[in-house]
Amino acid sequence: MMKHPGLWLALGALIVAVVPCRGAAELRPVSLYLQWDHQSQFAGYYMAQDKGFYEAEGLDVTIVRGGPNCLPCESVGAGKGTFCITMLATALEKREAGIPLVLLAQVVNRSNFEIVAWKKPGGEGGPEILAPKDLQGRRVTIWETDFRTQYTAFFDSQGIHPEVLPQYYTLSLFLRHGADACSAMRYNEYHWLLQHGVREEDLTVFPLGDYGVPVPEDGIYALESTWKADPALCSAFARASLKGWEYARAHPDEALAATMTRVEEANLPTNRPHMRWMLEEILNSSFPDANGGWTFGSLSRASYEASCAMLLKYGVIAAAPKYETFVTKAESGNVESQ
Amino acid sequence: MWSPNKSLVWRLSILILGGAGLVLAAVLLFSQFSQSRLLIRQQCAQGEQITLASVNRINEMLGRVQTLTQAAALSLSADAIDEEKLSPWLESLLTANPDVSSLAVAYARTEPGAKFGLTRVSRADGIVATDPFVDVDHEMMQDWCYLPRHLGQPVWVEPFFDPILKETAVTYSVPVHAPDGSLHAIVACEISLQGIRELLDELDLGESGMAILLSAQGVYISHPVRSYEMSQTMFSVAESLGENGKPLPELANLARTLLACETGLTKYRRSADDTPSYIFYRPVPLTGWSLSVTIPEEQILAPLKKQNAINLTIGLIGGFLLLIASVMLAFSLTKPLHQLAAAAGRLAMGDFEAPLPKVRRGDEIGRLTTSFSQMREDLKSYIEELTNTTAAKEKIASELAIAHQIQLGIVPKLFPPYPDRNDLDLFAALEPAREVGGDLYDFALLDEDHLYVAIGDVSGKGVPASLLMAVGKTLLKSTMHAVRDPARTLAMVNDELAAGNDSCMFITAFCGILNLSSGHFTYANAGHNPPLLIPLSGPPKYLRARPGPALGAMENVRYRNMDETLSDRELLVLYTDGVTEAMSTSSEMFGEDRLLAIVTASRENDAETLVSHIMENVHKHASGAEQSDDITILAVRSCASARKSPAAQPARAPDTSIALENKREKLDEMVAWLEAASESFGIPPAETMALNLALEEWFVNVVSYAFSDSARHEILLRLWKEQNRVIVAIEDDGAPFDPTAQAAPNTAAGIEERQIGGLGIHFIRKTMNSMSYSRENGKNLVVLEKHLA
Repeated sequence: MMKHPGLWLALGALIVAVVPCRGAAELRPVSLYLQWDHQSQFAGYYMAQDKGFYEAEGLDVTIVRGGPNCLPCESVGAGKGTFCITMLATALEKREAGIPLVLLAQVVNRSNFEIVAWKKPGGEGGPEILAPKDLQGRRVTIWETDFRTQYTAFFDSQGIHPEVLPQYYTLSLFLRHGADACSAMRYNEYHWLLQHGVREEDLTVFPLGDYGVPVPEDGIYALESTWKADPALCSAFARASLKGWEYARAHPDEALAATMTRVEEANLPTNRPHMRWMLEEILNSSFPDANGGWTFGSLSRASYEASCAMLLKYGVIAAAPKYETFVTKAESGNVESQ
Repeated sequence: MWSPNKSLVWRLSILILGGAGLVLAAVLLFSQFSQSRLLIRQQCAQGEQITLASVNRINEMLGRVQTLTQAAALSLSADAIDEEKLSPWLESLLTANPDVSSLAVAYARTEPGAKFGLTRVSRADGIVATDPFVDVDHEMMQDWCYLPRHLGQPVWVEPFFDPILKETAVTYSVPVHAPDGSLHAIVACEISLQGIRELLDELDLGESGMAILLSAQGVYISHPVRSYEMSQTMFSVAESLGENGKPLPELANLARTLLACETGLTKYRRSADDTPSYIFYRPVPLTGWSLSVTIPEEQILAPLKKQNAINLTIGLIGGFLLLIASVMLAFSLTKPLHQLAAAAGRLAMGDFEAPLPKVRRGDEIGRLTTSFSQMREDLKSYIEELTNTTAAKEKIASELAIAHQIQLGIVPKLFPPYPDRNDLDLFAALEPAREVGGDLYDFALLDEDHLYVAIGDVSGKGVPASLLMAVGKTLLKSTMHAVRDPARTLAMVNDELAAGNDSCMFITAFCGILNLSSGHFTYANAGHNPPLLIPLSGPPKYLRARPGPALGAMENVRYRNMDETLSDRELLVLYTDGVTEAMSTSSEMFGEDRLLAIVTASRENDAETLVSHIMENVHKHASGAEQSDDITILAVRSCASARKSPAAQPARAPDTSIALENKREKLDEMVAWLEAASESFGIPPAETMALNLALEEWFVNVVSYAFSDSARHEILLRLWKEQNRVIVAIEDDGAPFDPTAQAAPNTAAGIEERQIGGLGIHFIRKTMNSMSYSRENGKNLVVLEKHLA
């Protein structure tokens, strides 16, 4: 296509001129606040960091772990962090609460929210929980946090009214049969139960996504001001992060190792098989399968508007921002420009 | 030399060692089996005891905390909580219980809608103090509040890592309810699990035994691999060991058994190092934790392994000593055998003097040596005896051979005996038995017309018989020549033999004289088988008439001559009892009838064919049975019709004649005369040549031998030419010499041994059709006749 040799030479000269500019001294320091403790949920960012994808974009990224006492959106809102990972519902809620976040890239497009119930809560011979209606009047523990809306939407859609108990950091109450069902993420709590002696055949699982509550999850966010001030920076970060995810998908063992390194450094009470499970589930819900359904890294308008509608209905937000305002397409815009 | 010895040595050694080894192996195996069972049983008891004791101590430690917490809760239940007093009270409680690390009380405030209050005292570096700041909301979300609140009962929460203590800790939490059932307060007491871990670490479980404390949710509270603690569950370990993300079923099942608070003992393959191990498990009753103690089977059996090694070493040393002993024993046993073998080998080479081992013991080898020695002596004497016997036998055998030669050498064996006589057909055969018998036959022409024939059988066998046969044969012939009378001959020979016949041997004999012209046969029989007469046609017969006694049996016996006239070509067959008494394998005799039949059937044949035919039949009859007697057959027939009339000179005057002086130079004259005659009478050249050669031969013969003086003699030749023959007469006055009486020359004999002139006469006979001789007026007259083609 480019037949003129002079053009090649010019391009080569340009590369030679640009590359030295991206020396270590000139890396731009940014920080990424994770939604939770180190775990495979964030393996793509670890890979982007470890494999130098951030550095290649001229970024010096500090990854800050989240957790019970560390709120990523608030940190970004307060200007402590440049980027954060959070869920769509949370981001919209925070935006209305005064933290003007915009989406740079949507990583997890499939919902991992589930309700896990004991199949036979009253022991052998008692009434069984096999369908959502069986949860009627049952004690169900649900996260107290911003995830709650989706469960409410689920109960409403099924027309059931369980006795909802708060759920915090552990599943001890469910395990001790203090509750008949509990909320769980497929990639985390569900497998945690299996690792603590619960047999799959003793459980009934209701994935919320299967019941019309398809709320996209993890996305990369930045303040709207950051995006407007330096879209190139945001694009570069989003691009490098997605590249990290692609790499993690191609090299799951490396991604697992990178995760375990961080888990062990932080002395977190988890284990490798659990992280492997989580990685697999996160990759499955990030990358579309053969049937498609979504584009990796993007949030579709339909998905966005369905989520907004649900949040509006339950009063989580009073008004939904425009798709074009909230969803920057930082990743795709720049991908196309390359 | 060494190998047979070695094999016996090794066989003995291996037998002894193998037996001992088998016994040793059996003992070792049995002791291994029984002792391993004993050890495992002991270890099981011990393991169960250790587990029980540990569980009891853990339970006791936890029990104290439980009691303390419950007592505190009890004291809170009655009154409204005074926040001011709570802190000092808790501090005093904590101080009084040094093993408790912190105490906390969450309480409902009396104001409506107010949050829970929380007071916590903890021990930091040994100093008890109230925590200045606590996040009530956060704590209320923690299990220690959350669980008793929603379960409505005291709970042991899951062990956790306390970041302040930097140790694993566990909290016991008791809810206090108001009389109206609402939650009044929660009292919690936290203790470090360090003490429990130390307790488990100090258990004496041997080198690779291990104690594991598992929480009620399967999390490792205490594990030899520290990194497992609080991060791994037994199920996660099972998952990492399993394939395709599926938990290792064996370990997962074991984990479920443990979490089900069961007490027991199981053998399984320990996942950490995949060794067969015994696991003892027992729940901690207060918390639902499970304590398990794992001891590898290898460790349990280690002392046994050590003992086995010692036993094996002792066994091997013992075996080695046993090997030396057995080899020595084997050598002491086989050494004399070795010597015996050497002696036997030398014995085989003929050495009877090889040394034998000394007989020291009366055991089997000693007896073998004695027997061997005896055998050698017996063998020696036997060989000596055998040598003597063999020498004697050889002597006998050589005597027999001599007798054989005598018998066969004495009878005439040249057939046809008179080749020039086509009027006589004679053949005889004698087959001696293996031991020499005494058969004889004989014949001779007494004159032109008279043939003497005889056959005989000497009683007995061997050399004496053959000698008697020789004597008998000679006597018979010479006497017959002299007396020409069969009966008288027999009588004379009988007298001769009977006189001085000490050994009482005798001869049966038959003899006779056959007139070849007339067929008249005169014979006499001295106890011999009757001969057979077979005419060409008509019935045959035996000449049975009046046989006399055998020769040599007694003196002065008279024999009678018998007469018989044989027709032309009638066959006379003489034979001995070897023919008629030949036995078949089924003991059947050949018999006279069979002989008669055979001879009759083949009477057309000549004598030789007939005799051979009889012999064949006799052999066929015997069919391999051993010949017990000599078989002798003599067959003779006269063919008067075939007799040549001797050449005779015609009565008329010769056609030509010549008289020659007895000088060799005159030969040319004779040849010239013959050629002239041939020419004038038209004698063909071939006949002329034959006549010439015959005449030359005879002329030289006469010139050379007929005259003993040197005087001049005249040889007269006369020639007649008839229609188809030529007759030549030669007359000389030399010494009488009858060429026709000369026996046929032995052409097989060496040239020097032949009678002079024999060949010449033979030549004349062959070339001429007829030759006659007569002596008339003191002159030899030879007439030759040659037919013309």
